[in-house]
Amino acid sequence: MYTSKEKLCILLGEYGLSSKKFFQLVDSVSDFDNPIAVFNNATACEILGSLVNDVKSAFKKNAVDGILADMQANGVSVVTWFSARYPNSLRDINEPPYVLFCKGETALLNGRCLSVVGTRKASSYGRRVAADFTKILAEHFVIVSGLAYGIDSIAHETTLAEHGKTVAVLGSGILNVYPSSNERLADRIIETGGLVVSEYGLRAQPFTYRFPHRNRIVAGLSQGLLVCQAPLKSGTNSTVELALEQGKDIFAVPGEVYDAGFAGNNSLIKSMQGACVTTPRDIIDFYGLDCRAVAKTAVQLSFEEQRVVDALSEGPKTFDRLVTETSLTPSELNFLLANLELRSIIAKLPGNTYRLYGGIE
Amino acid sequence: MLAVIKSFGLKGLDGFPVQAEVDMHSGMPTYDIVGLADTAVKESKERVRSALKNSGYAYPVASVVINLAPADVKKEGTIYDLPIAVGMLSASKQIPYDKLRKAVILGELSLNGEVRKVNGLLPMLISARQQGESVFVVPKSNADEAQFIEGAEIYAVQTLRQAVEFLTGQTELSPLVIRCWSADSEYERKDNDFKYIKGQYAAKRAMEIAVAGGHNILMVGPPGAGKTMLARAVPSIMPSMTFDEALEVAKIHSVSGQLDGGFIYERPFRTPHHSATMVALTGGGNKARPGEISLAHNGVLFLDELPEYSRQTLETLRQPLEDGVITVARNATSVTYPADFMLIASMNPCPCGNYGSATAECKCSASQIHRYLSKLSGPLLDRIDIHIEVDNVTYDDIQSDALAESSEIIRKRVNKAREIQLARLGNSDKRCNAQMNSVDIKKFCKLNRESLQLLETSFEKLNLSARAYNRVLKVSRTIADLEGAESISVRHIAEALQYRSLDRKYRV
Repeated sequence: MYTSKEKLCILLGEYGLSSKKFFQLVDSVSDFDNPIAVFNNATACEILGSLVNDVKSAFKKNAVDGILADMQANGVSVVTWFSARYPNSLRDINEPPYVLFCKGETALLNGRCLSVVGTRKASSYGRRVAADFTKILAEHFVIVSGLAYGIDSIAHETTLAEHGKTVAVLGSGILNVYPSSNERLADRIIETGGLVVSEYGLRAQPFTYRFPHRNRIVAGLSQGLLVCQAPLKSGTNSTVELALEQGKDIFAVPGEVYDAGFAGNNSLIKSMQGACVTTPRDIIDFYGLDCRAVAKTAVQLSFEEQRVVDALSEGPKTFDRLVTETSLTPSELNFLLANLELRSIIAKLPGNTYRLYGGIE
Repeated sequence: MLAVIKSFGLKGLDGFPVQAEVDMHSGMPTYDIVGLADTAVKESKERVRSALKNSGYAYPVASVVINLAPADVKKEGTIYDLPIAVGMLSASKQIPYDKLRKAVILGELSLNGEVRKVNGLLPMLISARQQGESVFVVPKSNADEAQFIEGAEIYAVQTLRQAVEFLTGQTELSPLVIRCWSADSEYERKDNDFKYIKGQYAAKRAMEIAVAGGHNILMVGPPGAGKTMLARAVPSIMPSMTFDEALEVAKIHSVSGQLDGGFIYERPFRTPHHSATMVALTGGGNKARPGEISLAHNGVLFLDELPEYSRQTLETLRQPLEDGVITVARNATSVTYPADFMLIASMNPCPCGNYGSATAECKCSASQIHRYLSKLSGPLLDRIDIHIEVDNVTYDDIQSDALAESSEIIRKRVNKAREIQLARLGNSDKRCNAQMNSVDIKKFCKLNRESLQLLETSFEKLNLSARAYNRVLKVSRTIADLEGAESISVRHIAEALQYRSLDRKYRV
């Protein structure tokens, strides 16, 4: 099933050998097919450093079989550097992962991917951007993101809701999903034919340094990177830098100039490192993909509903302001708002605030 | 010689007859109390001695034995000072005994012979009256508590001397005037009126629905939005208490010594601080005293900053919220107190309070917000039917001089809705929609096709969780009752859906 080379990759991956050292190891050993030769090679042992004894004894005890059994029991498969299925998009990046533990549809690694990224602490505008863009992009792309809170989760969730395909790249072991509250989301991604992938050992801990590191995979897998919301200093910026290094296309949605939560987006646009996009169609057009015209359905609004919609056309408003501006009673207004929301004409924001839905095209 | 004086004791909210038997025989002057008396009872020795002396009586030079019968039940407090003093006077033949037989005597003595108030007077008198007693001698300072006890002859005394002179027929006292109960007679609802709360239309509407259906409510909003003010105004729109309700409330307050002013007309409003311990909330201590939730019986328990309460404390609320009573078991006693209250809770949307605010920036990380919200367990949230987000009041609203709708008008609507509910729920001991169980919901919350469809789409669209289902039905029933509508229609369901903020998954 797996060649001896691949088994060695799995073993080294499980023991946490970094990509950098792995490729030094491959370069220094002429006969990588033969693990015994690898362990007898002095340079190789030097590269392995502190791991050498652990890995050696694990190899002697056939620990790989245990790991393989563990993987099988948990439905984990592996794509290694030596595998034909290894995505070409990752072959060219700096320090490519040499082993990818996968749960789900591995073919997605070679699909047409687009990364949707952003801060964990998203504002309601950021959330809206992520949801509205992903909604349309998911028709054309495999949506790649990092399964973190905030924008990442919204990107995955929205793709699932649109019956699209999505890939989640973890910064922890694939059997140790972090944040744990997203475990259910990870399961749903797998159930719906998506993919969850990690370069770390099966139950590796979510150490902080692993998250910026895995971002090179998020960026690497995709043709382009959509930045939904990024403050100046955030993990998103590391993804952007890596994507720039890898020569990927960067798309940024502009934010309010006063909003520190969007300073990252705006500086990308200002420095012309990223293309300013205001609709998902910009991205689809950029790649010359066909965009199905969305038939616009005329909405019939009652007189009172029209009054609410008119009041909201100036921007989001709180419930109390709507009461004063429309002079409807709270109970009538509640009824109208619920109805309008169910028809996707308006949306409710935290803080009992409402806005027009007005999806982007 | 032996004297037997009738008195009463208290276990939980019920009184039981106690007989203070005072016996004297010649010998070394001693003073012994038997009958499981606690320290306060035992210390009566010094009070009785000084009170007798300072009232101009002689303290008998004899060996005194006092038995508080029944001898196997614990006696607590200072109730027995007065009966013991009277008993000693009788046993030492300073006063005749016959007239003492009939009266139930309760009261604490001070050293100068004054009679002081005792806790739990009301429940003791009620029990005594039920057991056929009719003549009572009680401290004047809390005789007011007894003003509604029918058929009782209650004599309020200020001093030991007055008590003795009355009991021996030397002076006449007129019994306390027993009054007829009439709701609303005694007080006006003054300060916390809804008409002073400007803006806050959404919250006020939610409060009205909550009170109309007896639903528990959770307010989420930034600091300074007026959550506490809203909560404080709630008793002003609740229906007036019936006599039985008021009596129960008064009993609980009497037991814990908090019945000031003789009686309680307004529904209680309790705000325990979030540092309150579990026992402070549920009741307990070695005397199994009623806690905050019992003191809030028939009224409002307001928990400000809900997530700041310890998790353990909050979890203990689950069972009383369901049953309306709390049983406090301590080593010697097990007491059941009523605890049927409306829970009003408030919280910020995140630790800094500004999440989702239009005007201020939230400084919390996603995981902080997550942790903050996860302090509230699902089962507890399950018992809160209405969630409402409270916004900051706009400047225009603060500026306006116009008074909003007054509590009285709102209360009328609430009363009407309550009447409908009472009629519908019929003979069961349920009084409002919030108390409906799943069988009642099936029976009384029938939906037409249109409403069912709305409910179905809204669950998909608004990402509501399954636990919201029954809550929405109950609340929509109340909204329909407020309108006087026979059956639940789409508009009622639609409005009820707006009161499930915390179920929505847009929060992190």
